[in-house]
Amino acid sequence: MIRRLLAFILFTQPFSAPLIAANVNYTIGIFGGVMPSFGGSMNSSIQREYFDSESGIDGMRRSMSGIETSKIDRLTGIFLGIQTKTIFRDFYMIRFAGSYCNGFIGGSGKSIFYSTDYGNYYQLECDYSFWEFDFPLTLGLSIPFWKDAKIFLSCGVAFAYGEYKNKFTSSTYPDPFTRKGSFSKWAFPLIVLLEGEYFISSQIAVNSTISYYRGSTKVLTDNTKNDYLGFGMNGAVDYAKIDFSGYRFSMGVSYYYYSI
Amino acid sequence: MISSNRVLAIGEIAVGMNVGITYDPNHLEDEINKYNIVMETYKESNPGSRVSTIDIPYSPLLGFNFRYQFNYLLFRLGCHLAKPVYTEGSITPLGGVKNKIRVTTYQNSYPLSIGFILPLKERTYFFMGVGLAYNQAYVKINQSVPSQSSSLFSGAGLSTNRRDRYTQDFAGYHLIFGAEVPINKRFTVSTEWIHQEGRSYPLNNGGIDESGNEIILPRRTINVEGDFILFGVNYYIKI
Repeated sequence: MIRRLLAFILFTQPFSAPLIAANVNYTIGIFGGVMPSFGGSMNSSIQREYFDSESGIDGMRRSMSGIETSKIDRLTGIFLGIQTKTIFRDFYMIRFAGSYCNGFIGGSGKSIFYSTDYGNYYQLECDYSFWEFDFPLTLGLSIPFWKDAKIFLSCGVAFAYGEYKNKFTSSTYPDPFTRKGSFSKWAFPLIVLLEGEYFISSQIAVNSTISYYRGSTKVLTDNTKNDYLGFGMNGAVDYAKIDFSGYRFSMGVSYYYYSI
Repeated sequence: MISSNRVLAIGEIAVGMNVGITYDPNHLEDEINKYNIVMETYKESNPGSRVSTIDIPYSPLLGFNFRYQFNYLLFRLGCHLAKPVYTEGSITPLGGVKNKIRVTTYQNSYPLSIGFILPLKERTYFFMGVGLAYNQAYVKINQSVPSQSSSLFSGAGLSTNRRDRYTQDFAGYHLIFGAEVPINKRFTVSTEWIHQEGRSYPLNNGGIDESGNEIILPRRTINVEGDFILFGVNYYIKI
């Protein structure tokens, strides 16, 4: 009874009734990991138009003698999630997961920009942040490898929602300013996922996963429009997309309802 | 015994059919985003104007493949057709006429892969390979009344033509990774991921300008960098 109830919670219950007789197993697990280059380059129109960067953070990394600057790295995200898998007929699997990812390392520093109005370089403090949650659904194959390991390859799509914020400040500029951008939207990135699982008991397995996301939102309009003071009132409204693309590396543990 | 050795030496031939999905075939995202930024900026500074932004296209995939497997080696010839439904946006200046911007594209790729098979059981494999791909790419951007937004678009380096059309066949390369399991003795199912790269040399425009005259400028390249997700059914032919 308890197993049936848990299977229902696992969203896969609609599939289970006709398939239980055909050797179905369910797993539930948790995972966590890192995503390098989280949010991509985080390019936006204000960076392109006023700070002369065609490539977001990458183009904002500048230095100059006489002005204090520091390195600005792309964000590295850390994520945690929960996943369920239904494995049927030994080889086929459906995976549904939910994860939350937040920028952890990088995304802030000091740069410079050139003002055509004043014909000089000025310090620019940059700050980027990004968080997202997503619910990927993938279909694929599960291949038993020796007696106590499985390898999964699955592909699918995720519902992903994210919020990207940026902030650019200059106190040394003759017309000091702070410009903030805020963007939020959902998208459906495509996913490829390769997972290896090793059983430490007949029902518990540890796993390691590499997944690749590909997709972004359309260009979005800045939600923060009242930041127009200073900087000749320019750049109060920013435009950017939210990029969910990139590789994710994770480790986790899964519990199998039926012993393998 | 003699018979089984002969089969191993000859290898196996399989034909398969694939369906799948890809995101942004022909890599138009950057250009579409430029149009969208220009239109959104105009709308923000011109209350009363109307704008509908252009979506980045997803495309269904249909494919066929022919494979020859010899021990641990895989030779695969594929054919993958990607044709998204057109994607469209528009801008209507205050007191002006709507200019519809329609993006039409397709991409046919024929990847020839050489790879390794990791056999786990009978017809239960992981495989990965690399190879060249022959690509046929097509991009067309139509504007219904380009004069309505020509000053905006030209200022951002975007086209103000009634039609811009580019098409070319060119070579690229790819990486393929997949898994395959049996349904029965002859049929298998597979999951595959293909990442491909390739860029044409600058192509002449086959479009028309605002006045309807044929043009060859501006030239542009087509970039087929992208990812294909494929699910397939394969049939092994007895040889």
